[in-house]
Amino acid sequence: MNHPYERLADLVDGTLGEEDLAGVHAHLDTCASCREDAAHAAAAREAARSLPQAAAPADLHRRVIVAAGGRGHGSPTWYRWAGVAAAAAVVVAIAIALPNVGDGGKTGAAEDAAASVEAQAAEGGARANDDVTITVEDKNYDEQGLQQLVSASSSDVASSEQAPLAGALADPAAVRCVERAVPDEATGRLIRLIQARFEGRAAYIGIYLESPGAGQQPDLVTAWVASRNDCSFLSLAFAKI
Amino acid sequence: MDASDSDERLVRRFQEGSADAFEVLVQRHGTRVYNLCFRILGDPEEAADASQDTFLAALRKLNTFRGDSAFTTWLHRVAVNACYDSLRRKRRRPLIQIVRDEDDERPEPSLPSPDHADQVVFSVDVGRALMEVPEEFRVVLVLADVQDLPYDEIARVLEIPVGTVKSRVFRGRAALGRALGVARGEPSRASQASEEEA
Repeated sequence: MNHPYERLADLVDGTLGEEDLAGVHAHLDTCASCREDAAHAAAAREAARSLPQAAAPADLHRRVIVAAGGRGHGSPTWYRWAGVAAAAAVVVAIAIALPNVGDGGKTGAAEDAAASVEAQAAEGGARANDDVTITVEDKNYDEQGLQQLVSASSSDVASSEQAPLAGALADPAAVRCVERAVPDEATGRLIRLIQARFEGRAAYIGIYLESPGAGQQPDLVTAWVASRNDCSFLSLAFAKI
Repeated sequence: MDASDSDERLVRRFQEGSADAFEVLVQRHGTRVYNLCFRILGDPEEAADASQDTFLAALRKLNTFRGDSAFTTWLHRVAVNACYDSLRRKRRRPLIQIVRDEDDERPEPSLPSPDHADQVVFSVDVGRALMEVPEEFRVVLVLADVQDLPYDEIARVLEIPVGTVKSRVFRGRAALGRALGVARGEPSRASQASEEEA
């Protein structure tokens, strides 16, 4: 027998339409199981609705903020600039969405960005790291893979097993490209650069060590992903050390 | 930061770089998220952890929030997923079986009456009985009767048809009523209920 659970829910709620009322009652007359369920459901509805709101732990807000790596010591951490990263993603989306105007459509956002990177490279960016090595990986990262990468980097740092990184010294232009995707508020130190793909797009992944400041040990590893085409922000992952 | 700002405005401010906006959202929705997690998971510590996971996941995903649904709908979806993750982790842990003695003399929980309403004891009983409701029904029931969300919003949170929401609400309530011992002496069918879903 098919049981009209949807309409029984309406019956219990008192919202069953006149047109369905007779049919549902006819079913209840012949179905002991639904009669029982409807009686239980009506009582349970009142019981569940009478439950008081459970009080959240007083420190929930603090726990969330601390776990997110924010506040505490007054130094900007990834939490402070997570919103900036989000804003960067929005800007990129808008730039892509905007039609090219003027100049016969030849000057696109990506070309502008690339030109800007070249200009910045020529000027010698303030945050360039000249001794960072770059590893070229034939790998297509996704969000999950990026998280695994940053978690593994965090474990390496925590266990002090971070061997001297093999690989060629990174081209300063590559370093500046990934740093273009990192907001100015970020204070981390770039320790490693990976050239790979991210969700199918050519990308640089910069691994950074973040410290709470005041000479304290780093407590966070972040991975910033930048497009190799226009150095725009693609993604961010982090792991506590 | 104006605490009277709408959720959507706070989200926009966060996306524009204001971390303070996120803190206002946590403060505003913390109790509601915790209450949802507590009634689904039944354990204060697990609920606190799931609430924390909810906001951390929200923080990471907020840059993808485009306002296609209301922020509260989106946040409920994130919270329900955090609860499902918690339930999955619990299932993977070695079970410490709590065997309830068949001859347990513990009194049956009872529904309140004006004569002997002990709201605190009653709430504990209802909360405990909720844990006997199969997960897929319990989640919907909590969203409907504890969080007081309309059925169409629950459908958007869980991404299932409204008809399925109603069906699960009804069956969840029936299982809860049975677990509360409304019908004394009747064997509980709650554990079988999920297999019978239409």
